[in-house]
Amino acid sequence: MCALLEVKGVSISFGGVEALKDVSLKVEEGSLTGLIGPNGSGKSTLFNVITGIYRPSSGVVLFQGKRIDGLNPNEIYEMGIARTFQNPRPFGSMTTLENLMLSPKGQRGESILKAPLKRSWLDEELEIANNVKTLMSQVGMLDFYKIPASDLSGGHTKMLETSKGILGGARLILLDEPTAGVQYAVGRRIFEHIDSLRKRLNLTYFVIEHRIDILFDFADYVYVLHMGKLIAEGRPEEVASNPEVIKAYIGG
Amino acid sequence: MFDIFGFLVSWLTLFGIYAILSLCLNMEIGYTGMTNFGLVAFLGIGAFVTGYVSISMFLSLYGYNYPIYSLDAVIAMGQISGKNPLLNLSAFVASLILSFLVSGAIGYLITYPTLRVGPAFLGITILSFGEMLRIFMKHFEPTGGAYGLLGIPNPFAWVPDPALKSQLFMLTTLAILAGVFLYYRKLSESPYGRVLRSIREDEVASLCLGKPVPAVKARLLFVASGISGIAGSLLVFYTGSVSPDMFVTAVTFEVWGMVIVGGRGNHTGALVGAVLFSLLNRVSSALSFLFPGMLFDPNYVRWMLVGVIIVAALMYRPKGIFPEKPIRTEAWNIFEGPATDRGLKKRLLEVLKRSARWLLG
Amino acid sequence: MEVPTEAFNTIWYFCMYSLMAVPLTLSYRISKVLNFAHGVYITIGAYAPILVAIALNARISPFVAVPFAFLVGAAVALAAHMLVFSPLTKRNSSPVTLMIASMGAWIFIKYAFYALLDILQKAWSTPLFYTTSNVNIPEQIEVVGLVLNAKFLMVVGLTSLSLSLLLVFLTRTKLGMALRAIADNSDLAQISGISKEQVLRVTWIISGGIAAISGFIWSLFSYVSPEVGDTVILQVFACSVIGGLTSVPLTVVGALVISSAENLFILVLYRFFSVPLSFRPFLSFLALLITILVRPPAGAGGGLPYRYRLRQLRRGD
Repeated sequence: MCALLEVKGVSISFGGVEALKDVSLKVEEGSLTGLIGPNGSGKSTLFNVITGIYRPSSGVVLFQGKRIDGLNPNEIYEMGIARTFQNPRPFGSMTTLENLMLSPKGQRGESILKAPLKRSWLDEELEIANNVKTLMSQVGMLDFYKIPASDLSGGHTKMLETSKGILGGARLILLDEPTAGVQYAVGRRIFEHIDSLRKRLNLTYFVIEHRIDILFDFADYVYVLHMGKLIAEGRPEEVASNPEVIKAYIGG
Repeated sequence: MFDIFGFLVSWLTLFGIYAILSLCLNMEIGYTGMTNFGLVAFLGIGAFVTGYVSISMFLSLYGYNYPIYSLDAVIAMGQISGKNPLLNLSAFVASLILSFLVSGAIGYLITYPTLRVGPAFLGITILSFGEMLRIFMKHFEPTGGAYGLLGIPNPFAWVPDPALKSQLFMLTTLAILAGVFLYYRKLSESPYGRVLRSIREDEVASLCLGKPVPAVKARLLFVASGISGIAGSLLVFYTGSVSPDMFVTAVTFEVWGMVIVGGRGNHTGALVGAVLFSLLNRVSSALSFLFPGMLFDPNYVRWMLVGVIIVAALMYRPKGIFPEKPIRTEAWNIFEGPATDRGLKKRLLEVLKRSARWLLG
Repeated sequence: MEVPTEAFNTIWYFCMYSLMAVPLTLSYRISKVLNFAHGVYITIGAYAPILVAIALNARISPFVAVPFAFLVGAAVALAAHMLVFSPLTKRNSSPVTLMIASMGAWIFIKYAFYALLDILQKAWSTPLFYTTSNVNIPEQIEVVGLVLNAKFLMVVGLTSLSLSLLLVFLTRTKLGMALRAIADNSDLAQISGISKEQVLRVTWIISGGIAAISGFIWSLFSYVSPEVGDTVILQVFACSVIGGLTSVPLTVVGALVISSAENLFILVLYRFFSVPLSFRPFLSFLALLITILVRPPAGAGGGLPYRYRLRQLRRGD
């Protein structure tokens, strides 16, 4: 298995504060790789760099061997990297269905020229709708298709957020705290769902998590970030017993 | 004697023009979330392009060498504009097309500098742009400076009966309005419309879902500005003249009033808002015509009402008469089965019911 | 000593734009309302002393006119706040809603004023839509042996005085610091006992008042019409944008930039590149555009959070 995603020596500062300092890591294809660390350690920032929202001041990001640092976020999505946000960002006034219909890439109907000509995109639209219907019934949200996304419960919003990347045909999905704000049981279900999707669709997951107890049951490999620097990495068991890590969390 | 029929024709023509503008602004703010505070600029660009092109076409084809703003030109136009129906109509079509292209191009260009700034600055930039153009045009000799141009040839100037001429123009305007309405509705019910709404909700999230947000915005503004230019073109053919002071910022806010009162994110709402404001416009014009010796010009009252309506609507009915509902796109058919089409009569009834409810709260 | 016209114009416009733009920045910074009705305060300030002079059939002294203009401007701004901005803010309206509401207020006030002028014009049988000021100011004063243009001196003097008073108020007085506290962190300030409503009222009073003073000064130098305030909107916004909509000192810098562009730079373009003088407004707009491109102001947030690259940089390597 080759590394799907490679981060090499990435650094970035904001107003004099170094948010990431020479971070290097690899995410192997087909794995569920974890990223943990105390608050403010730069985890979300790293995600933002990978997905093109920020440009690193030094270092490179490689996806399938090609450089993606410096590309725009929509281009990175096109290449097959999807992400979720820590605080879910659904399109509130749009229905759940509409939210999910946005995920697939390169829809012909999305071009301003083709849009008025229904015949050119109708088949594609209906096919995507069918896929969405299947997905929604798998996660038990079929009845909510007409509901504005802002009216969904916290758990369902999270589920919506997590499902978006899959429909887009992404190979690598970055999840930012998928279990934040939900109870333990729901959190476990979310991870079980992620895991089954991973195996079924051959996806790769890179997950930021605070619920280390849940994460360690599912992750293949974990990286630990503290104050912008990578302080440890390894399999969950190794990291769990690493004194540096423990110090960072308690002392932090 | 008060000519009711003439009033209706003039109102419906103005409604047509206002409604086109209202639909454009609705696409910009209601669907895409772009706060265009300078809509009048594109109206004006279309207007001036039309004036320039149509008069130049006529003068050059008849071999006159007068500058288009001169008195000679106006007199010449008066003589030649009724002679050749084909020329009038082709000047009309050519002006519409050119107005669309020029207004659209400028709308497209103005998107890029404003990408990184929020709605406040987008609004200020476009507004300032419009003001700058207006001030510039006031000193720009080739289009008549502050006086502008007169004698713009109505496409139906060759029709001997003036009432018929107005009616034909009204019908043309309403036909164009119908086309614009259908086009915008198709756009908004398509996947493209979904992308627009996602941009309105959350630009960054949309970008991270692979949507080329800047390109989408620029293209939308191209279309909407271009069509606003067409509205400007129609306005100029209707009044026969164009001058920079027709395009003051207050006009933009009148259109905003239409969209707010009618309901953002909603084509029907935009139309209803246009009905209200165009009626207000015509009624106050009629009043100032019928009662010339009033204490002060009724047009002032009209503008005061526009201001009051905008503030009152924002305070008490911010959602408008037709609040936005989730838009039914083709994808819904997989979940629900095909849509049942409501007849026209039912729809009109709905409009009246909603307006009444809006007024009474 | 002869002051060359260009320098005179630049300084004059610098003073005017400062007086016009600083209140706009201040009111935005504290109330978070981008007030499009700002131009109307300028117009009203220009007309108030004139109307009084005509009503009393007398020439009035500038020492009466200035405070009077201030009061009238302040009153109108305060009314707009209490009738429009305050109720809307209490309903948690978005910034865009507040902006549009200010436009509604703008239209209303402007045309109500037009109507008022129309009535007065008929009642007094004097033309009012294009008229001059009637204030008692000597042509020249002698100061330390130099003969100076009194009006110009007054402009510079008033501007410096107003801005310095404002600075002192904001930095040295308790109320002024309360204003800044609300601007910087509204919730925290309110918890520590500052009344937001009082702060807002003071803000609008100052904002409307100073804008009105600028209108008055304008009336000393040229004819006034009800469009006075709106003819300079482009420039005033440009100054505030350069100031990022939040920084008063930068707004003053912006006033300098805009007035130099319109009076000095245009001459350079005219002499060396034959650019016609009517291109002045383009320069102000260009200044505004450059500002939002190079230093997008963070004050009125939104937009994409980074520099979006229009061309694809690298694919593969």
